[in-house]
Amino acid sequence: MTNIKTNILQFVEKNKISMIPRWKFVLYSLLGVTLAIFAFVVLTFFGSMIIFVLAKHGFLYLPLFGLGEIMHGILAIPLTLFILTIVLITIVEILVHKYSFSFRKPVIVTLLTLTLLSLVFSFLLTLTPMHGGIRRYAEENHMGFISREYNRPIPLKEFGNMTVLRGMIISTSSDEVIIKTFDNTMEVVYASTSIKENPLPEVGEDVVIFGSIIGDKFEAIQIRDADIFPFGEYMEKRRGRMMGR
Amino acid sequence: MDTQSDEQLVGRIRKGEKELFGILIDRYEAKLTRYIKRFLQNEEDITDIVQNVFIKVFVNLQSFDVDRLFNSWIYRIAHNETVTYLKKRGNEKVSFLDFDTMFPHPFAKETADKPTLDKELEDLMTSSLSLIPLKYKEILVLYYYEELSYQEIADILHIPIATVGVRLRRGREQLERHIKKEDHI
Repeated sequence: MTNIKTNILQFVEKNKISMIPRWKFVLYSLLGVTLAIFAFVVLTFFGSMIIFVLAKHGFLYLPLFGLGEIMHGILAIPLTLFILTIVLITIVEILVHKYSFSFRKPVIVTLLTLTLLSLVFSFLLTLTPMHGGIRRYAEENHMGFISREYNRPIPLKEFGNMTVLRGMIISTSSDEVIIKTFDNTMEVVYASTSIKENPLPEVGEDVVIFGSIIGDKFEAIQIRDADIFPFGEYMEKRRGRMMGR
Repeated sequence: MDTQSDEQLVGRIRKGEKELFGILIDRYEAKLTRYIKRFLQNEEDITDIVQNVFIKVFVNLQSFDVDRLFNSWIYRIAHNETVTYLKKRGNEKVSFLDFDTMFPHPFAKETADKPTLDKELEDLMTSSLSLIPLKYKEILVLYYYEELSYQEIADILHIPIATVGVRLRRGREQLERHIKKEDHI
């Protein structure tokens, strides 16, 4: 009998080593699956909330204005989201290196798949009236913290005075439009010479306006119909308009 | 008793016949020692790792899925123990991005000319194996020395079968380069 065999059989005999019961493995698996589902749901919820806020402020429509504006949109994503993502990836990487049973698991593939799936589900969730409902409920019940998150302004400091607005047109004249944003604030928008030649949108239309702030004036450079991606409460409003409400 | 498969033995050990674990040790001690020897030289370290492997196998026996191959499972534990040891020693880096896994090439299939290649390569491999990175070395050892199939290697290393083929081809190429270099010297 070899030394290894003798040692191990002695360990077994003297109960120095014992088998982990099966129920513990089942419990660990269940815990793992529950945690993974919970993490996925949380990630999807916050992902869809960010998309909702970006849509509400009009940032999600920036690609419609041209390739250059996509960068505005990317930079508009809250910095905390980037930091959180990096922190999450770092934690997962450390955990996999330290505790992984296999040391060559393609972590990046798993993370990318999860991110992609979460993003798809986030978009789908944003298309439901869920966030609009939560926001309304928070406002009606004076839940300041939640309302603040839904109404968080998105600055574009990196691009000086360029910004984007989204809202419903209340009135139009030859060189200006008044829009009511979905935060219920009124904004007077002056049309730049480049768009004056085109017919301005009509009252009641849901629009996204890309422009610059000059002094206390907002000058529109481009105006686009926002009905292309109706999100959350906008979808409800559009549905309401269509049904004559 | 020796006619029983590993999986059948595992089933009986799990039901309480713990002394049968000795048969599994008899079957795998030499194989695992030979496998780990390809990565480490120190005899004491090798014995320690082999002993740890058997302890882990016993402790985690209830988690083994009897519908799968015990052979792959025990090699996997041995592989991880060896890698953990090498990592602790600090001479193996683990890559975050593994392009072989992410983008395996479609042409890396298991070939039918394995026996011929084996004979040629085994002689050359022994001297040059220590010169190539671990991720290629482990595949070459499992395929040529342990004579495991692509599927078994994929199960042990938790990588896709296509990646096994890619790494095997790249490992062979690297070996050939080292052998040619030595010839020139």
